[in-house]
Amino acid sequence: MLRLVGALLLTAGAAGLGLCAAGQLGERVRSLRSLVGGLEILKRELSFRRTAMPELMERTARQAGEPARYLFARCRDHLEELGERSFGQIWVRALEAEPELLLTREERAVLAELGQVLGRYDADGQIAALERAEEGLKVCLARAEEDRRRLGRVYTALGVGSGAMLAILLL
Amino acid sequence: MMVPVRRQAAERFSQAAALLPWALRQGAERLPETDKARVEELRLRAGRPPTAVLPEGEVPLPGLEGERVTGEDLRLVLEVATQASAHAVLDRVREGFVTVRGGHRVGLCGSAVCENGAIRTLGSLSSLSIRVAREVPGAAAGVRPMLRDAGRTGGTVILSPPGGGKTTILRDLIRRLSDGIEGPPLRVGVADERGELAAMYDGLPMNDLGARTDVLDGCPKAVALKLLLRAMNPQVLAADEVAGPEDAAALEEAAGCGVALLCTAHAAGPEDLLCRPVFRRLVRRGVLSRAVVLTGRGEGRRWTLAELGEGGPC
Repeated sequence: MLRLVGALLLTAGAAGLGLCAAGQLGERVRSLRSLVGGLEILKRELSFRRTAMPELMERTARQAGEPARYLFARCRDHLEELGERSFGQIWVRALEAEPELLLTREERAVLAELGQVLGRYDADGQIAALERAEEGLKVCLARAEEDRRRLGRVYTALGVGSGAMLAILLL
Repeated sequence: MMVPVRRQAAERFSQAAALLPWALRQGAERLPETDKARVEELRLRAGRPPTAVLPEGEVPLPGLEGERVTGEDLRLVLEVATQASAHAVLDRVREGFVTVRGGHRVGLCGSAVCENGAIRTLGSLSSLSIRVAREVPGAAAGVRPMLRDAGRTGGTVILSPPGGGKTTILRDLIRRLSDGIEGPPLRVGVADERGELAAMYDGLPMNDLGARTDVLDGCPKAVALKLLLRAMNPQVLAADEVAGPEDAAALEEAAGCGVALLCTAHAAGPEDLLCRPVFRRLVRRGVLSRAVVLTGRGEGRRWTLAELGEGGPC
C-alpha cells in the first residue's frame, strides 16, 4: 500500500515537473505577446500624440497586458531618477528587475537597444526604433510559439512517462 | 526683507542645479550660499570645466576646476530638462532652448541638422546654458508711475542686452499693473511663448504675475497676442522678447484696439533698437513710444526711461 502511494506521488511529481516546464513555455509566449502589444501602444502614442515620457509610461502601464505592464510601470516609477541615470539606464534596470518577463539574452538585448533611443530622439527616430524592436520580438515570439507547440507536448509526455516508468520500477 | 528674497533665490538655484548630472550638481551645491542667490546662469561646454555666471563674471564650480564636461553630461541635462521627452518639445529644441518647471531656461548649442534650409534638430550638443529664473519683487518699483497714464495706454519696451534682467523687470511690472500697485489694477494678458514669465505648471503660475493676469503660454507670441485680445478682453498686453515681423504685426493690431502694450527686446539702448527695421516701424506708427533701458548687472542694475523718437541713427 505504501509502495503504491509512493509510486502515485512520484508519477504525479514527475508529471507536474513536465507540465510546469511546458507551462513556462506558454508563459514566455504570453510575455512576448504582451511586450509586442506594449511596443505597439508606445508607437501609437508617439505617432499621434507625441506623448511626453511620464504620460507615455503611465498610459502604456495601464493599457499593456501582463507582464509587460510591470516593465512600463517600473520605468514610470523610476523616472524621478533622471539626472542620476539616463532613461536608457532606467529602462535596462527595469528589464533586469522583472524576472516575470522570462526573456532570453537576445530578447533582452533587443529591448535594451530600444531603451537607448526612447526619449532621446525625435518621434520619427523613436518610432523607427520601436518598429525594429517589434520586428525582433515578433521573430522571438514565433520561435517561442513553435517551442511551446513542439516542446510543450514533449515536456508533458516526458514528465508523465518518466514518472510512470519510475513507479513501475519501484513496484 | 532681504533674507527671504535671498533664500528664495537660493532655492531657485537648487531647482536649476537639479538639472545637472549628479557629479556636476555636487559642484554647484558647493558654491557659497551668498553666491547661490546671485548665480544667473550655469554653463556647460564640452571639454571645459562647468561654470556659474555671477554678476562679476564666470567662475568654475568648486571642486570641478580640473573636470571636463562630456557630451554625455550635456545629453543627460537635456534628458532631465525634457523629462526624456525630446520628441514632445522638439519645436523648442529647434528654437535652441527648453523651458523647464520653475521657468528656468536651458539654452542649447551644437551641430544643427538642417532640412530644406530649416533646423530639423540638434545632432550633437556642444554647450548648454541653464538660466536661473528668479522673481525679484520690487525690481520694477517706480517704473509704472513713469509710464503713460500709469500704464493704461501707450506702448513700452524694456531694453537690455541678453541676460540684462528684462524678463525679471517685465514680470514685476506685470504684477504691479495687475495688483494695482502704484496705480489702479488692470487686466493683463500675457503671451508667454517660452514659459519664462509665469512658468505655468498644471495650469498654475509658478511665478506671481498678479491677481488679474491671464496667461497663454507655449504658443507663438503673434498667435497668443491675437487670441488674448479676442478671448480675454485685456487692458494691457505683455510679451517677452519681441523680435520678428509676425510679433510686430500682432503688436500693431493690438495697439489699434486701444490696449496698452508691454514688451522686451534685446538692445543696449534706443539707438540700438532703432537700427532694426521692425522696431523703427513700430515707433513710427506710435505702437511703442517709451523704453525702459536697463544697465548694469546684479545689485548694480539700474533702469532709466527714454522717449522713443522716429528714425534713429541707422
